Amino acid sequence: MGFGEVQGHVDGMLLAVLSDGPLHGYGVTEELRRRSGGEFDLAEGTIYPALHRLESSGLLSSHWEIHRGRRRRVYALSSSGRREVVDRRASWRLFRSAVDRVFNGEVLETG
Amino acid sequence: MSASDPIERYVRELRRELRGRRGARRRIVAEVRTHLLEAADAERASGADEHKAAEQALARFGSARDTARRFDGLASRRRTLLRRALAPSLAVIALSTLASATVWASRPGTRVPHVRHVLPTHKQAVRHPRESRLR
Repeated sequence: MGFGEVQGHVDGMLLAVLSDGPLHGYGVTEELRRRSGGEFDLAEGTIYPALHRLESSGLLSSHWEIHRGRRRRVYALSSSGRREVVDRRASWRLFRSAVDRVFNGEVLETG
Repeated sequence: MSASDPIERYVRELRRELRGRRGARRRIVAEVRTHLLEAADAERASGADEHKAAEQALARFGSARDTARRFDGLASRRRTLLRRALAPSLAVIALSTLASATVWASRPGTRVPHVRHVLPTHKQAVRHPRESRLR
């Protein structure tokens, strides 16, 4: 899957990846690759502006850490980031089931 | 040639391409360099030679120009938000200056209220654009 198909979901996926604990940028890309089974053909550089934007929005916090002599910027969910993950998971489920119904030609009986 | 050479070339190019505040640029460059070195380590662990490992890490990351432009978009969004936050204060300063000048011109020697007394507080000025968006 290319960037265009994934673009609208990058922020939500980054938050979801960080919901299991703090990670630095490279760790985030590795976890994204592991969870997606390598399906996303994203340039790894695309995640950094997204991480910075999420931090500016108050959904993430970050700090420097030294690991094997290298400086790493480690990202963690803030309390509002944790709430955001819950909201995004719920709206993703609604979206996914609606798209499934459209592709499968199902009609949801309402009323 | 050491494995870090292609990465250092990339980092130098990224530094040239980036716009915005110096502190923000330094942070981006440091993060990207660490990312590329770790990605190259992983490629070497999978059997790539040093040069190939660095090239593969760079190919996976994307071009320096594209990366810099994505950060530019972020910086211009911040500038827009700042401009919106400051616009009410600047408008009040302009209006109060104009009012003072008008009063002074019509009645020389008249005391005019100090600009500080007619300005909104910083919180009011900053809160205003967001509140108006939410309505």
